[in-house]
Amino acid sequence: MKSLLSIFNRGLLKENPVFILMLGLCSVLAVSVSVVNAIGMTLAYSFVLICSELTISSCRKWIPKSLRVPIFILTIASFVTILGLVMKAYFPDLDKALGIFIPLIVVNCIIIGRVEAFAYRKSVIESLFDSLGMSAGYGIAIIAIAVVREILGNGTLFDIPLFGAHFQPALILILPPGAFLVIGLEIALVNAILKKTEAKRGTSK
Amino acid sequence: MKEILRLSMVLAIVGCLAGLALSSVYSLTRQQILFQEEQAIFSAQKALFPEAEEFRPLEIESLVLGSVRIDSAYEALDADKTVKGLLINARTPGYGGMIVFVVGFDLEKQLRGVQVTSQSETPGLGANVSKKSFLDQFINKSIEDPFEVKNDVKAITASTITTKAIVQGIRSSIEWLQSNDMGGTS
Repeated sequence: MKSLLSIFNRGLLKENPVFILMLGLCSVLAVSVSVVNAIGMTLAYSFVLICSELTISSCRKWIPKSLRVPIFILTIASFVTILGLVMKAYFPDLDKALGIFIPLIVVNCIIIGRVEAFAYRKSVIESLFDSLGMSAGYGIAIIAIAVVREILGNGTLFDIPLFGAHFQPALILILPPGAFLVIGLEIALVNAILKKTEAKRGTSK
Repeated sequence: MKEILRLSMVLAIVGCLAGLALSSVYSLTRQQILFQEEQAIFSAQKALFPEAEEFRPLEIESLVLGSVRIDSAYEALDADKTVKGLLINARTPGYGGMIVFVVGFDLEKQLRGVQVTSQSETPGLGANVSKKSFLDQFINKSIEDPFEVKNDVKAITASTITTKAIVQGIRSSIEWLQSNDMGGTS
């Protein structure tokens, strides 16, 4: 149980897919203009990652080594298409907001990376915890970026205005350059925290 | 040779399973997706003509006026089937892609308003084109008005291209309306 929890925890900070592994950043940068979009993207991404890891992990004994990459891509693409259809049918507003970034989950390198590096080699239950941890890590990162961008760049949070009419939002944070500024600062922050906790661990030993 | 056959068999089976899963999800969601798309257009039309019960499509061919494309036109009918006005669905190139919108005209040659059904403008800037605070200024404007940005049309902050695009779209719709002599005098 402890090892399962450590698999989950790894995704949160130490191997956070966005801040540390820095994989699949395009959706993170593009969608993090509002917190609502960030939460929607996290749900969509988690669905694909969890389903793909579970499927590959449970079938890993039957997947020939030389065919694994095409089978991974086929699996991921199928889940993404299913997700796209279901979103169009039942959540049209969210689908409109996330737009092209839903189909682009297919080529998101975190998903194929986790499937190849983890699910193909580990048991179903371990893969479940890995995918949950990675999804949570992705969610923390994209929401942390979106909160900063939405509050400072648009003066709102969850689309509710926070400041009076005289507040001039820093428009650059909503625009693409702002995404790079915020992600850079947050990566620096995460690294600083990690260094500090490591140094503490070193002295206590 | 045997290995190649085995591998192709495996891939074929996986492909079939994926195809099966996709086609069943597709057929399960198709009705709902069509319904949602119709609903989006209907609610935009209904927002312009709350009293209308039915929107009857007019038989027109989609045509291009400059950069604007007129997709379709509808008559708004109330419960007694009297014509209350006309709606035009059109699209105009904005800053980040096509802005798809509906513009409604009543029988007094006035705009009932404009509704944006789909756009991909910059969030926080041009995306405000679909906001009520911007679109409400078009309500009850006469089709004889000049529709000049910063003159009789209030622009979206830092989004002149988007504002000009939607205004051009409205102007072309009016042009189409007048050239087809459906200015609402009938």
